[in-house]
Amino acid sequence: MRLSYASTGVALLAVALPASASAKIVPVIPPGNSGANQYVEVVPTSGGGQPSNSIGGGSGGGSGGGGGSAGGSGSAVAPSTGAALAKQGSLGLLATVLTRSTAPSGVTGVASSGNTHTTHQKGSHKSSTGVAPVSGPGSGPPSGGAPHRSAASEVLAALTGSATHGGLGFLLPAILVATLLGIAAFGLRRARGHQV
Amino acid sequence: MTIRSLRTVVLSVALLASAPLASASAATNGGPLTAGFSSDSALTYQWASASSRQVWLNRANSENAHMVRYDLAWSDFATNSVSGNPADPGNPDYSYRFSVLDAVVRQVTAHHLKILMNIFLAPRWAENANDLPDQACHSNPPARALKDGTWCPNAQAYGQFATAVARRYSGTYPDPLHRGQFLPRIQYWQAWNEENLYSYLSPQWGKSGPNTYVPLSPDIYRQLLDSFYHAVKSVSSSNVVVMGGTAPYGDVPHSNGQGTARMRPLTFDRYLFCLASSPGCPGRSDFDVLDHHPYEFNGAPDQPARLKDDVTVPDIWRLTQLVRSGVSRGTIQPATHKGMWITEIGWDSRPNAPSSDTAAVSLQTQARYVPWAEYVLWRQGVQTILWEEIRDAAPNSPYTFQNTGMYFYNGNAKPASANYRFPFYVRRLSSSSVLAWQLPPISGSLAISKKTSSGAWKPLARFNVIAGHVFTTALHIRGGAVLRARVGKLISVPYSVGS
Repeated sequence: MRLSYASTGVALLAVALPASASAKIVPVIPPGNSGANQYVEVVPTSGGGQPSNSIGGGSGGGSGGGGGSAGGSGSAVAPSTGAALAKQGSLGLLATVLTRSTAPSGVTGVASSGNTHTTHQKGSHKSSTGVAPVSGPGSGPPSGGAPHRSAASEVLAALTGSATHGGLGFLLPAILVATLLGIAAFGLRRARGHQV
Repeated sequence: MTIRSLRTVVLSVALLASAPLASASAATNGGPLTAGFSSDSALTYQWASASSRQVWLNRANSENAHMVRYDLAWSDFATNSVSGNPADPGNPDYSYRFSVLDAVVRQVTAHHLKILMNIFLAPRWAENANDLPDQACHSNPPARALKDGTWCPNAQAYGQFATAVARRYSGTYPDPLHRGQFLPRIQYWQAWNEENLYSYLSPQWGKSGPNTYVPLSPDIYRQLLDSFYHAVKSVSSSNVVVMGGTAPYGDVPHSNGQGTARMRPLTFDRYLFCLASSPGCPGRSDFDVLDHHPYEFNGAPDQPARLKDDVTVPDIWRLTQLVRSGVSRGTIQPATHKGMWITEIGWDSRPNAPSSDTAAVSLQTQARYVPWAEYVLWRQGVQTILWEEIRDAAPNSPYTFQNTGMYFYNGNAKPASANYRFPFYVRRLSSSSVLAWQLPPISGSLAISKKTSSGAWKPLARFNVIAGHVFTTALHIRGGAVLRARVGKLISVPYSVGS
């Protein structure tokens, strides 16, 4: 009996091993005219791949940005959407605030077509402001790094929006403080109620 | 006064004369930087007349070019499988083609231009023979449109052909036309072209499951490179082997097969150098110089690629970083410092560029980008820069990057020509200083001058410079300024810098 279990196991292994070892790789033939536009950088977007220079991001001396037909500068919520949310009262306003505060740093707008375009501004115009040593060639990045800032100033900048990432300014900390105060007041009121 | 003391006095006077006049705070000899042209239909096109080539080779000399890349299609030489020894440069099957190539090589080297011999595109009989472990290449190449010579080229046959060409141009092979003379020597050899594109090497990707893609082209290319390297080095150990230049952009495969035509250059090299998480990565890569083609699609030469593993002009350091990793891990051999070259670069200029090329720039912008790009590349350790074509393609070419020349098709020089001849670039370092970078075409005393409000040129500093060696200096300048450099009778194009 033991022998038959063992032989079955060996037989199963013999079948399984070659099958996994020879997991066949089939070469892929690209569909369509794949030779065209082979020197174009294509950035994936929700609306499909787009040439990188058509979606903004600060080309040298050219126009950057351009995040769709609506949305306004630096806004993740289209004006029409914002107006509709505002009609919903405080909850709508809160939704707008939350959307803006959690939007990715580069979101410049929500196009009327529904495509969200993000800007990619890593290192743009570095050479005009960076400081390069006069020494010989190297193999590091060609431009200087970002100016150094303290951790406290980074936090303050992030909270107030004075960092390069955009933000809500002092509105966000104000909302947070107000929320905390509200919770504290609610707690105090309940505590007093219990005392009575 | 002895001759020695007289020499000392003369030298001292010369040094005093070459001392900075004012303002200059630091100066550095930045080492050699070779400029040239690649893929050139005007300079090396074998079917062009010798007189036409002569005109363009003279222009290349006057442009201060020092190297030309010759694109040799293996498929042209050996349409049918070769009888006899395929590594024999005197094989009768090659004789006609070699006679044509000999003429080009003689003419180009007579103009003191170094040749980078790029060998690519397999003959039909040498495709489909690569022995990958998964046998992905054993299926027949697809019948539909696909550039001939790209499908799983036979690495062994590639090496044999490279041996024949390297022997032919070893400097010791008798010139069939000139008794008692030898054909010129070629020292620089390049293995394939844009091996991360399906249009040059295929397949790029394979599929092991419904949504599971595996890279294939790095494995195919590693075999080609290995065979090529040992073939060329067997002829002369002082031959220099340059990897095929990778194209700047790639894609990520989708489930429908889209995105499988090209691989991002950093992705490709990571697999090639066995630095990706692929267990059992076979073999190693042998070469002397890494090459890349950083065509900028996003604007100026300081614009990095948008996507992580794409590589444009300011991203070259990421490639050299990868190579250093490979050398330290032993997956790149020999374990020596690897050079970094750019053998294709350029910006299409309007108005001749096709409307589909949304990255095309004005003639003035193209001119401004030439020294700027050379500076950004040099900063990252690049030693050779070959610009894509000296001359534009014939009018109405539908392809992009066909109007990157320094000359129009009709032979008239573009503004970029002067910037190519004497690259001079200025950038601000601080509110009170600027960096001046130049690649002097001749040796001698170089003067940097500033344009005054009256339009006159006021010398700021003077240095002794060496032809073909980068020279940099920092100058104390506040506010906007227009500067230019002069060495001998050659004057650079003025470059303006903001405040």
